[in-house]
Amino acid sequence: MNFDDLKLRTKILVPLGLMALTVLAVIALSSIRISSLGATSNEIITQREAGASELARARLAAVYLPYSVFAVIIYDNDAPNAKAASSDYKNAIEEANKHFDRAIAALPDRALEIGKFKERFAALYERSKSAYDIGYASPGAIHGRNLKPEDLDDMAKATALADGVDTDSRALVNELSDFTANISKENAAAALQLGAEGSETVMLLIGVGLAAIVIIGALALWMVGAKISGPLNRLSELMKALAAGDLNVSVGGANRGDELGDMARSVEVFKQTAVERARVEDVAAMARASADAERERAAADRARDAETVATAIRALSDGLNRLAKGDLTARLDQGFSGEHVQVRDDFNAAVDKLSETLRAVVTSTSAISSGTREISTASDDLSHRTEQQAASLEETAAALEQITTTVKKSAEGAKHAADVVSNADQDAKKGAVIVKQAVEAMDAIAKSSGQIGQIIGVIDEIAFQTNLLALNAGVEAARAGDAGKGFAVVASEVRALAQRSAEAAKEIKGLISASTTQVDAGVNLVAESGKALERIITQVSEINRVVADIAAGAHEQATGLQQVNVAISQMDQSTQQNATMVEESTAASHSLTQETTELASLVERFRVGGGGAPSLRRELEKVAPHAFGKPAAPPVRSSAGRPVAKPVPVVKRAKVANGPAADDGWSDF
Amino acid sequence: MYLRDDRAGAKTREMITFLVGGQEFGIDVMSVREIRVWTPATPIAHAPSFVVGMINLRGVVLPIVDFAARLGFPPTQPTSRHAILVAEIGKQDVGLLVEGVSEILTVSNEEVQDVPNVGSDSTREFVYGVLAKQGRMISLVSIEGLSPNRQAAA
Repeated sequence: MNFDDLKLRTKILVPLGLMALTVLAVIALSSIRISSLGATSNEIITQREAGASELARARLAAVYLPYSVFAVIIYDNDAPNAKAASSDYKNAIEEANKHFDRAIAALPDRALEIGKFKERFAALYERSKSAYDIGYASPGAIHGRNLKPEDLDDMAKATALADGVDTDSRALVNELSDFTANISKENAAAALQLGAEGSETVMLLIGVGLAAIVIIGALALWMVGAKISGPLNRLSELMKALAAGDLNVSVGGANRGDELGDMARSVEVFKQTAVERARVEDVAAMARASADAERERAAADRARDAETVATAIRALSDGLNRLAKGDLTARLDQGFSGEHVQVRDDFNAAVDKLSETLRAVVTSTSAISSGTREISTASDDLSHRTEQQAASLEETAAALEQITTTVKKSAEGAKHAADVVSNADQDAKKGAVIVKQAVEAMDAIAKSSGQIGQIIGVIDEIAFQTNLLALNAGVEAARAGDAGKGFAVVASEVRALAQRSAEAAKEIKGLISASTTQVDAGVNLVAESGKALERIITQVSEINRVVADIAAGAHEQATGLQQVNVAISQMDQSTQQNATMVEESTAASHSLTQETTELASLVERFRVGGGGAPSLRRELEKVAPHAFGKPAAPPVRSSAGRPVAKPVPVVKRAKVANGPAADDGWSDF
Repeated sequence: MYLRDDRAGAKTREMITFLVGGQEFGIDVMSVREIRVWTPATPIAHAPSFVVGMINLRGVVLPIVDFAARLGFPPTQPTSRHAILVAEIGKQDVGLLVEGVSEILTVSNEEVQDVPNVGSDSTREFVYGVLAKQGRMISLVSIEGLSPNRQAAA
């Protein structure tokens, strides 16, 4: 792969990447060195120096040992110094051993020498014990001459013993001091070496970094200069040449694979385009030259025509000026030639038409005025009628309220009547049952009467026969003469009895007959009353139906009243709308009158030829006298002026002018 | 005159009264044999108009005379309540159809009044006296005048 084919980004990133790698390497190296230095210094500070200080403390114990022994010998045991010395002595061996052990732990390379020091101190401490014991038993030197000779001897003996200890102790202390100083010296040397190592590391790092910067900088310079900036400069020069119009330059680097190659190819395309454009511009320049010649010829023609047109326009301007002043008699006849004759003719025709139109306008104005008068009168009437309608609506609403009350009452009455009729119906049905029973009872009576009649007939027959027998007996007795006289009496008595029974039977028959007749009459009457009851039932049901009809009628009336209410509400709205429209139409008629006046004054400004002016003016004066400053005829004014003011009371009354409040004013309906 | 003679002989007599055409008539009880209930009669051919017919009375044929028709009244329409007086006229028994038999009266001669003279012999031939008693007007009839044979002869 060719290096030139890499992208510019890659080319820039390569030195940067190398730089980053170098920095990483330096950081890693310095980290390793610094951590090594840190470990060494740590050892010096924490271990070796600590061991030295422990040895110094052990040396202090060796210094204090003889002092404690002497203090015990000299001081009384109760003295504070003696007590402190005694305590120090007792702790001395433990204290010294502790420090020696720590020193051995801190300085393992010197453990043998420190062990020897430790043993020597232990032996010294053993030797000092006898001096200490004697000193502790003896009283203090403070007693002076009061001291016993034995005590003084003991003290001398102890002092002698302690003296040897002191001498050895001093030697031990001196050696320990030398040893400790030796160690400190070693530590100082190690620290010095550490500092040297640190400086060396710094120098190394600076050297490596500088080398890397130089190498990578050189690489980057080469990259930017040779591989990016150089080709870009060449392309820039090329494009400048192209811009300057030098189309003969050749575009290099088009075979490169990076962005610069793309740019080179694009520039090649620009070059080709520019070459094509130059060719086209040559063609266009030739065309422009021929067009300029044509234009000059046309300008000469135009100058010639312009003179003719100027003349015509002056004449036309003159005519139009007269026209603007309202002179409709203006006509064009001079200053036109050729194609402008048509303009003249058109102007004259237009003015003629305008004159005719104005005459027509005058006539129309008259008609409009007449119409306006009629509209005004009609508006007046309409306002009156609207007022009356509003009053009628109020009366209607009041009447409707009464009707509503009445209908309510009649509905209640119908309901009550329905209840009563229902009771009557039940009673009538009960009555019908009773009548049926009565008819049956009457029939039974009639039947019994018939049977009694038959029995009475038999009795009557018997009485009749008995009478005949008695008569025959009487006849026989009479024929028997005196012998039959007694029998005749008996026969007479029998006949009398028969007669009486016959009479009784007759009476009974008559009574029975009368009773039968009456029973028949009663049956008939009961049947009649039954029929009457049936009729009553029928009529009651009829009444029931009628009452239901009345109730339904009342309900329908209520519904109808509701509809009437709605209708009245609508009428109310219509009345309001009518009032508004009356107002509007009145205003419109007023406005129309004004417009008519305006129209008349406008038309009056025109002067129409052919003696038409006086008649036109007369007509206009008749139509709109106020336009000519004369007092108007009263009837015209009143009819034209009244509707403007008159409808206001109507409007106020209907409260239409108050907008939404109008509904409140009419809601009573 | 049998009855007159008879009346001359006795102070009182028994009269049987009956109803015909709303009037009350009376005949001597001695001339009555019995009283019967009306039974339908068998008409007799070519008999006078007042002869209703004949009936069988215990085996004897008895002619029946309509008393009302015999007296010139409208003919009787007989019912079960009509009666037949079986009377002895001469030697012949005759049934008299009457509307009803009333009673047997004992009448004294003084009570019988003469029939008013109305200028008719026929009347006198049937009715020989009038009995006005207890507000009643009873015509006393001569039984011989009632014979069908007599009418036929007349």
